[in-house]
Amino acid sequence: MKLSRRTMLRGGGLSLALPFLEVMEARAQARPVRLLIFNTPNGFYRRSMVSSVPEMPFSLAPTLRSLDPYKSDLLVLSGIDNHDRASGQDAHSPQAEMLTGGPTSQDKIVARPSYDQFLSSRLRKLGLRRKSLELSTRRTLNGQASKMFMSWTSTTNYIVTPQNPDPHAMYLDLFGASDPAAMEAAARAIRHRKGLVDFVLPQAKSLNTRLGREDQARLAEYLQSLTEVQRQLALPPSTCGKNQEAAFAYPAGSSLEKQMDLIGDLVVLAFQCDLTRLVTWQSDIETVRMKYGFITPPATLGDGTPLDAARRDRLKFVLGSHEYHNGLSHYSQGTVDGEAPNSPATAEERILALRCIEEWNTQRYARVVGKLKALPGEGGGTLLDNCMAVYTGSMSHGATHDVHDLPIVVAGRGGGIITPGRHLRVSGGTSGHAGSPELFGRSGLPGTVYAGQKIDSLWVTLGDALGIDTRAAPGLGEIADTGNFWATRARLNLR
Amino acid sequence: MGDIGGDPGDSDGTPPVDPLNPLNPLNPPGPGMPPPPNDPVSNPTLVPAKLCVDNSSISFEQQVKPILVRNCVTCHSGVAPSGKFAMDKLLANEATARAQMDRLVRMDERIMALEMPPSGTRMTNDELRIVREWIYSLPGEPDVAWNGLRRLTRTEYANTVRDLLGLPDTFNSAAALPAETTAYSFTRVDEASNLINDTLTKGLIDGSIRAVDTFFAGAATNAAYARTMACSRPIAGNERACAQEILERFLPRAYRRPATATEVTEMLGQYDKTVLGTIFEERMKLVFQSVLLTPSFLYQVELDPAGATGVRALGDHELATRLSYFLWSSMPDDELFRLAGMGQLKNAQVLTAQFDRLYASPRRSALLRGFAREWLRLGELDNEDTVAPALRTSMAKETELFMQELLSNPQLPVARLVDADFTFVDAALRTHYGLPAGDPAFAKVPTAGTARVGGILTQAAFLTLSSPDIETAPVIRGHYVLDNLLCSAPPPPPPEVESLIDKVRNLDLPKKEQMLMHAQGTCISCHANMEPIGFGLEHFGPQGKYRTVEGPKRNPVDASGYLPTGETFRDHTQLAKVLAGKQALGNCASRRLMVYALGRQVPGQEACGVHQVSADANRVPFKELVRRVVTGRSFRSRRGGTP
Repeated sequence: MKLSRRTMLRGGGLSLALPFLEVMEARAQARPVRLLIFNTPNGFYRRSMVSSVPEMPFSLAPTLRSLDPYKSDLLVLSGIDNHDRASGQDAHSPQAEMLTGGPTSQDKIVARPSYDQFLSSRLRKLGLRRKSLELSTRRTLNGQASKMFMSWTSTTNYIVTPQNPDPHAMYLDLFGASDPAAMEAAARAIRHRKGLVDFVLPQAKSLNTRLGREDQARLAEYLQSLTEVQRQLALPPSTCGKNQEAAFAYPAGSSLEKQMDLIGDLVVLAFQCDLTRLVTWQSDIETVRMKYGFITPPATLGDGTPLDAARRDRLKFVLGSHEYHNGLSHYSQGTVDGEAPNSPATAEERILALRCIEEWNTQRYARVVGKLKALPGEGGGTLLDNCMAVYTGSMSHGATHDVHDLPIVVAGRGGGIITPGRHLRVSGGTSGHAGSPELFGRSGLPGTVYAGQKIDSLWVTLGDALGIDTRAAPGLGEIADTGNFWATRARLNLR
Repeated sequence: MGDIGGDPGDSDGTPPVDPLNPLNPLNPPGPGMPPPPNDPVSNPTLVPAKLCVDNSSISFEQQVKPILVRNCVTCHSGVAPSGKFAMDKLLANEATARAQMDRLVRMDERIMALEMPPSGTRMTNDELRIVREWIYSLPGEPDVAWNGLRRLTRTEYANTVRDLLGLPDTFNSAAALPAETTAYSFTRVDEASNLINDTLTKGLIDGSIRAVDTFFAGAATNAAYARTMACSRPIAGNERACAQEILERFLPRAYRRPATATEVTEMLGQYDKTVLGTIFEERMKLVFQSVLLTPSFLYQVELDPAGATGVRALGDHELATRLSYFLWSSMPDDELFRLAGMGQLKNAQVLTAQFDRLYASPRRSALLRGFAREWLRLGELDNEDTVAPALRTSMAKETELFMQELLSNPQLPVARLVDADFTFVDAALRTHYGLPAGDPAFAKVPTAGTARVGGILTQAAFLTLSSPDIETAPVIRGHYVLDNLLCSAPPPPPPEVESLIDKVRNLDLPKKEQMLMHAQGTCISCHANMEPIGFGLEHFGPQGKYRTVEGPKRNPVDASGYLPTGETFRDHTQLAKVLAGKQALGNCASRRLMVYALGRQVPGQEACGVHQVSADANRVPFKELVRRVVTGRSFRSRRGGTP
């Protein structure tokens, strides 16, 4: 049965829902809440981010060791699923499905604009320097296509990350130059650009009247973008975050680790200066031909596995010279022993290499969490207390392209909406098992069996914390209503 | 895209390998072979289907429907049709079926690839001929699909800015634009090129400012500057009149069409409102920068008269614009503007003459970069970081020079793409290929008698980018060939086989034995097409070196095999001949060329438009294919309105 939002409101949801959202909006205005979605590609070796099932006390999975100091700030979620791909779609298309409510048509990668872009459009009215940031570390995109990207402003327009992978250029773009001569030149350049956009925008719109409906929609993307750039150009120069240009120096040939960490620093600075409330960050895109040979394998892995010098050398070789991340993630596809340096890696070596990559990714995230925690936040407490820093992937288990039971970590208190320091299992079953019928039997999508909770419930709940009713998003609202939003709301009790 | 390849009937288990299964690519061809191939090129005894002529005498109800009902509907019907492809509804009546040309063409492609019906129940050649002649029946002119607004690509934008302002080749106004992606193989296809984000918009603003500043800083050629800024009277004292005169010349070139008086007046508004000093050139700078940010400049716009619907012939300027962006990746030159202005370009003879002129120009190298490189995915070589960068460059260069030769030499038919007796090598590739030392620079060399006789298939670029790092993957090579050269890419594996993906493989075994799991159940209908081609190229290692043993245990290479369509081959030299004889190769080259030329996908409704380009395509030179595209109906007309 299809439960429309209206029905729910009439049927008793009303008394709960509207005051709740009003409270959330008021709260978000008083204590600005920031949302970071940090996504890593190709799934995980271990599905879970907890090593024990009971909700409390919990211990983190070995690959999350670098998060141990912040354990009391983490909410670990399990039992949440990404959307299954449609038949005929590539196995890695869930990256595009994660924020778009899943596929409904075989002809399109996504059926709706993404949650983050809806949030972004609503956050625009706050007048911050950026309504959102969409980040990645990729430089080249040879042959990559739409399924690789999370953020969609429409069903046809997705944001090709990286927007600009040079952290130094990104710093200048966001915070401006520091020395007086450069600031004067920058101010002139901004006036010049604003003059151009102010003049061009109305003229560009006049073409619209002579176009068909579909062409108008195509042109609208450009007009909207011009409007947003115009808005940004009209803002007074930033005063926060100045004079840090040197810290973001990024000489050509710098390592990926440096690039990732500088981008992480930019995220922290952007949150600290309240330059934006929303960041989506794809550490990389699915199936990309990415190697991690720059990682130095640790002497001991997170679970205590010691790696002697010879092992570390071999792993460094496997990470750098053998296969791409995606190839390693299919770790069972080799059984020969790996004596000769040029021979394929064994399954065991691939798993160790994968764990090195996951630990490394976690360290990048943990570094951001640590920095947020070290800064003061509005209303007392730390900046992290006013954040919701999500760490997840679009697949739970890379080897089988499994999208169920995603490992998800949320750091921060979301301005008070989240009680961290625990593991919340949102649906009862393990991957492939239906959860309790009273919660999951009401799926409004015919023929759909919800094994776990769909991830939409999480985005809606986090949207609430930003003071934005995501159920108003075109198309996405229906997903939340017809899916198990209300049931999940009960289960997804973050408080 | 739809999946009609899967056969859920087999998905309830993994039946044991059937050693007599004629579609098992691991078995030698024998008495259990499928019926003779439906490809008239490889089987000349067949009566070939007459496609895209008036076949309206074939009765849908009496002839076509019974054949399809008998062969397809058992699985493809009901509430859960196989592959989610419901044929009971599709075949309800002729009008319903005709209205879904896309699906009919998809069905035809699966049948022609011998994926459907599943093994053992092949359609007879006569049945197939009737069905195909009915699908591709053309009582009138071929249909034309919807054309939308298309933004210029990075390359097109940079070239256009340079040509418009007469800037040097080294100037790149697109430097600050973000990376591009592709759709239907190409960056210039609307679904990819139309993508917008704020970084892009800022990059376009940056590009317009830098380009115009560079123009006024003296970087433009004297001729270009003089011609752009000329005024029929002294500028001093006549500034505004001269601004108008300059704009009246500049706007039509920037917009690739005549500009209306309103457009000129509106743009003069920028001149009038400018307060940045009173210097004439400073004011004109802002005007030009504004022009470079208008949609009419940034997009390829084809405006329809108000209320117009259906297909209409393109206007002269629209045609000139399509032609020059197709062949030169840039705006029309003076000659095209002149002919368009006189209304001459619609004339078929003039159009052909202009096509010849543009094709003969060195600027046609844009077609190599835009079409050939993206078609063959040469850009992906950049990712091959285990190959030394210099060698990578040589690999790409070999295939580029080879494609340049194919595009230029009228003696070389399209089939040479995969079956050629020459290639281009430099010192690095001579060493890599084990050829005798010779000219250190790139030179054309004969390859008869060597291993390199498969055109791009035996060139290091393809062999490398279709392999994982240290060992070849026949599936990937086979998929590349099917996808890019035969346009019959199998769909991705269905979700229900995901659990099989991580089955442990024993890399010690000969590779054909490792692939056994693909020769069964649901998998075989697609893998029987991919693997044989990949195995046929096993004499070439992951970077394209010739070898006689493969894998860590150095098992001997067995490059023999046969295709589901029945052709057998001993090794890559024979495989190359087989592929070169496939009509699908010419069809595919034609289809890709049309997608590139039109900057949009080419749906099933345009199948007969493709057919007119691809007739006998294997035996004609590339230039002829390009000419057919340019003179074809899809290129010379458009369907506006709403898709």
